[in-house]
Amino acid sequence: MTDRDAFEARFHSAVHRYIGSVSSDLEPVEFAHRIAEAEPRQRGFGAIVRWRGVAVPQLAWVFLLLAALLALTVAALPLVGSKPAWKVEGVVSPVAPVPWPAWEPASYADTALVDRVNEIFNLHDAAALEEVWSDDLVFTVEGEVYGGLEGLRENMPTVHLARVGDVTVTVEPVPGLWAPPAGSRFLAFVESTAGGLRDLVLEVNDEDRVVVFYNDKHKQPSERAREGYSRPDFTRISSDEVKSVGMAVGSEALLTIVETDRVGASDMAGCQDPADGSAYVFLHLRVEAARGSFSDAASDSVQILGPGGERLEPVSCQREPAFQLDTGAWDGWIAVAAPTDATGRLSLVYRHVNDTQGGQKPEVYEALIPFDLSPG
Amino acid sequence: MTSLALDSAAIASSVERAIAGDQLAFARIVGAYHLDLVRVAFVICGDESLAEDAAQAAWWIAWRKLRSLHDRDCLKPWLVAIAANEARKALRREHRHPVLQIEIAARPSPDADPPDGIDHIDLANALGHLKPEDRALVALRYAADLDSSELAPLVGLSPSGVRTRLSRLLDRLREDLGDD
Repeated sequence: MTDRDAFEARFHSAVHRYIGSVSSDLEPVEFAHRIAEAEPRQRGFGAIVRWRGVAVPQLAWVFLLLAALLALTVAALPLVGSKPAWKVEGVVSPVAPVPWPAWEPASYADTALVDRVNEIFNLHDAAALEEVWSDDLVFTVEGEVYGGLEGLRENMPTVHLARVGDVTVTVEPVPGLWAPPAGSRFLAFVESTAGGLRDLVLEVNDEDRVVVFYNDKHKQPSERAREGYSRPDFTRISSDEVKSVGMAVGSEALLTIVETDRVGASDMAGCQDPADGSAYVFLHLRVEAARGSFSDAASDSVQILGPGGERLEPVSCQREPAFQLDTGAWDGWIAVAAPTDATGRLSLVYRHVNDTQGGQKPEVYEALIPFDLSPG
Repeated sequence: MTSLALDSAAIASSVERAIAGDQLAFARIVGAYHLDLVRVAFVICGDESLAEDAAQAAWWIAWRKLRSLHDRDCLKPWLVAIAANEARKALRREHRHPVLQIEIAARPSPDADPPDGIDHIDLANALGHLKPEDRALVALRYAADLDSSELAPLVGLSPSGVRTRLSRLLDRLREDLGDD
């Protein structure tokens, strides 16, 4: 036996001697009677209407709670954004073609976008920047801004974002950079080191100020908006409010197709390259992961139509599931086709069928993006 | 008052009947365990009247929540844990630390030395130096004689975690009692 064991035995014994002198004059029968009289056992309905001291069969509580939950759910249905599942229509979005965009080369200025970005992120005022991005929202060094989708993708500017406190925003020198005119919008996708992708819509408003829309629902759990931040120059919108992010600037068509309670939005960006007569389209499905699954089982297709509506074989058409669908990130298609006639016009039809509705009718989304590849 | 031991079958039967509202069955349980509750509470708060109050408060809670006791064999640990908790709450409410107040005592005569060499005054003072939750653990282990597997669910630790914590407490008590 170790010293400690010996001590424990002696201590144990000492405690028992210590409490050995403690006694009580309590009369158990009288005391139990007093308690039982004060808090009598009750059953059935009495148990429901009386709160303290009641003996309610547990099963009754379960049924009661279930009934209350059901009643609350039904009562809340008209009040919340979600529509009842049984009201979801099958075909949601017959999309009318957008007007043919005119080929209007914008002014080129390498520095214009840099200035815009400076304005967007308010680099002259680090405190303001901090207001926009909460402390724990740290971006990786590199993000991309798809601004002015003119030309090939590699001509798009790349914006480097660094975390608050060590802010450096630079734009790679891109020849022929498009300067976004007032009223235009462009998309930014930035990655968070917390994981996932953060999408922004940057808009140059009529007052020549840049407004950032960001989708709070795609934020990672660690990304919390700072309490009380006023966002003087920024507007936050939730995905449910993003009904349309339309854009037709220069050669670009950017559409938001539909909005349902399952799929937040589908953003579609197309661009064309008159030099080689090809068109590109970037499709991004924004998935509302918070509402449930949106799996790869959904069928997607991209068709490219000629000016007469004939279907064209795309030069290339590939899906780029760059991010996880089931985590609410983005999915994309890139389709390339060449016009077949002198008009240089073609259309690209994007069709998405979400058939993972758990027995409901499949949701079908279609969008038509016209291109005019005739020489300017 | 003396405790009336109940065997396992009698405990289960009494609990069932008490849940159904049988006052005598509940009285039988009170009679069997009340002293244990008082003594555990006494180790924690060091005051007999406070301990009695805590034990009685524990019985009111036990009456209300007896239905939640699924394992009838765990009746005693369940009851003494309630009493320990009530004792800690009583101590906080009263802002009293009577154990610490017992600082001066007549030196016991040599022939009155306790067989284990730890007298009540030293023990009370040593317990008083512990935090209430540590005192509760000591009380449940050494006054209520619960083992580590019985203590574990009551204090939210694993049995080995309980043993480790008790071991540290013993080291401290040993030092406090000048036993090292």
